[in-house]
Amino acid sequence: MAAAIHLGILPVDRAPAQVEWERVFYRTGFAGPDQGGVFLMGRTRAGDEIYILAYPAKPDNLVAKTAFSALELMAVSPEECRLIDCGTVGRSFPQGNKPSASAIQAVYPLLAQLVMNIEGGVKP
Amino acid sequence: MIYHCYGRAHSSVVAAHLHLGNLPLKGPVHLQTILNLPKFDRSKKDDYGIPSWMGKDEMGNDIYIMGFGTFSQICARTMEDLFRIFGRSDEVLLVNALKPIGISARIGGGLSRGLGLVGIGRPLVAWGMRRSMDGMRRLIIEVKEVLEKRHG
Repeated sequence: MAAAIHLGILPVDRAPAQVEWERVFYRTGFAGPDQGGVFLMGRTRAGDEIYILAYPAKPDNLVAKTAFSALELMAVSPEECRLIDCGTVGRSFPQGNKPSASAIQAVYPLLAQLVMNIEGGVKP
Repeated sequence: MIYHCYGRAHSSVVAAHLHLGNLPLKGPVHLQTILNLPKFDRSKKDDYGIPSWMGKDEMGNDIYIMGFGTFSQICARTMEDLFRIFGRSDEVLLVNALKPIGISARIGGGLSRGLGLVGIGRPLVAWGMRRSMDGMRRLIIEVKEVLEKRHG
């Protein structure tokens, strides 16, 4: 959802309608061998590629640590690649194609704010 | 080149030492030799997901060890995908060092690192590693063949 907001697929100033949410790729989440995969969601007009990475929260954000380690081994700078943890906000969001309207209403402003707080703001 | 296992304490450590020539690829290995290996049975839970450099092999490859807990497939996928995205897939090879390891080493490792029962767990995991040495050696030989092909 955060990636879709960043890319302008979903609005930043209001919660999306169900029909808007259903246009979002990968909205049902990942399971099995796709977990841990890094998937391209799209490219912003500025040319930034936006990826998503789904992983289990426990133990101790191990997959996130592993991702940071990979970037460090490649000597990728924070300017080249930023990892944004949406879990603190998004974990309260139910998985699935049709989350309830109340769940969207509760979580969406927080996710939109998270995206807005990324340096440079939202540049679809 | 990354050898990974549960907690980067045992099988990845032995694999890296075999790869680097600190343990022989033929002949007997004494229990004490395994127990004296640097980084053997030493890592902590905080070290999961963080690579530890073990040395450079004869082909110039940097050899690292990592612990992925119970998420080896997920973590390996994340690392491989990130290297691919940056166009550097040919620079990384992830090898699961747990595959040749038998039950005794796994139990010993769990006792020592998981439960803190070092007195029982450490000798048991070293004994288990020695029992699994043939499989580990076969793995290292296969890995070196892959690396030699990559280097042309």
